Amino acid sequence: MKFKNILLNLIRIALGVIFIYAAIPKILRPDEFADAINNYRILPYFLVNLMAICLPYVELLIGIFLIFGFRIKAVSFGALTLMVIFIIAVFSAWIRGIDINCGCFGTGKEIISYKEIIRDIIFLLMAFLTFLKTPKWHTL
Amino acid sequence: MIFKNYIGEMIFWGIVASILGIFVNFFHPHKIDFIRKPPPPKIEDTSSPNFTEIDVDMAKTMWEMGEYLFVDSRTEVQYKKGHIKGAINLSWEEFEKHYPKVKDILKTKPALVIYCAGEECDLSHSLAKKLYKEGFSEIYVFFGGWEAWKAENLPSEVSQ
Repeated sequence: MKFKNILLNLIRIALGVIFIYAAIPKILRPDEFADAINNYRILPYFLVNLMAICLPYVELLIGIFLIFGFRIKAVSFGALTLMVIFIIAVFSAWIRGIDINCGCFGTGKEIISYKEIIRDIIFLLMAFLTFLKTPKWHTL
Repeated sequence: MIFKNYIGEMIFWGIVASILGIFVNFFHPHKIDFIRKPPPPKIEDTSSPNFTEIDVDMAKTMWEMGEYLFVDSRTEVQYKKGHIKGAINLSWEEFEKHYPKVKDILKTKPALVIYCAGEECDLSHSLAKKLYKEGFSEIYVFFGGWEAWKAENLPSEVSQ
């Protein structure tokens, strides 16, 4: 079962890198990220900026913890929860047909499409595997 | 339920990270207010005139005539990412700050065409009202806004 363990570790670390990669541009430009959240027209206006301030750091913390294998169960569950929220947000924007930037990895020019949803589902599965297959004792 | 054991800890780490984010925001060069400015209220009062609304074809014609000044009422960040070619930015949210700077430019053309992101936003109407109070009377609202303009692939530009 050695191969399986290596694979699981790889998935966990890759997911950690993805989360950090997603967090950095948002941390650098909270103003742009706030606009991106606002464009989704899901959150009430008074929560938009607070979300833009806090969420990138939650992603950063999850990413760092995943890479270093610290509190894996809890943070991979956090990653799982975030991915579910992101998928719902992107999907709802997509079916409403609002032509907005995803904001997933900062403020790149990716307009929302089914591709973002598929990508997010892959991340969701990675988080789910990490959560499920990490043994209980492995929580540092 | 297997998840149950970890919800508490997940929330704990979420709060830790959020506090860090709030702390960093105090010193951030691009820091933002904790509470976003509320969106402009829907126009209901009848004290100001109803501005003539124009669609994308009409906007295109007016743009080609060159007699109209296009005014982008979105935020500066959105404006910089892409706007109607030749349009100037007068963000509704920062009207007081930006208006004195663009005041003279606004007077160079006999009429203004105001737009925002798209049909669902009211920024252009709100800005039209403010400009009306400042003495501009020839104001048109392009309700399709940036989304409609972009969809038709009409001339646009990006500024850095």
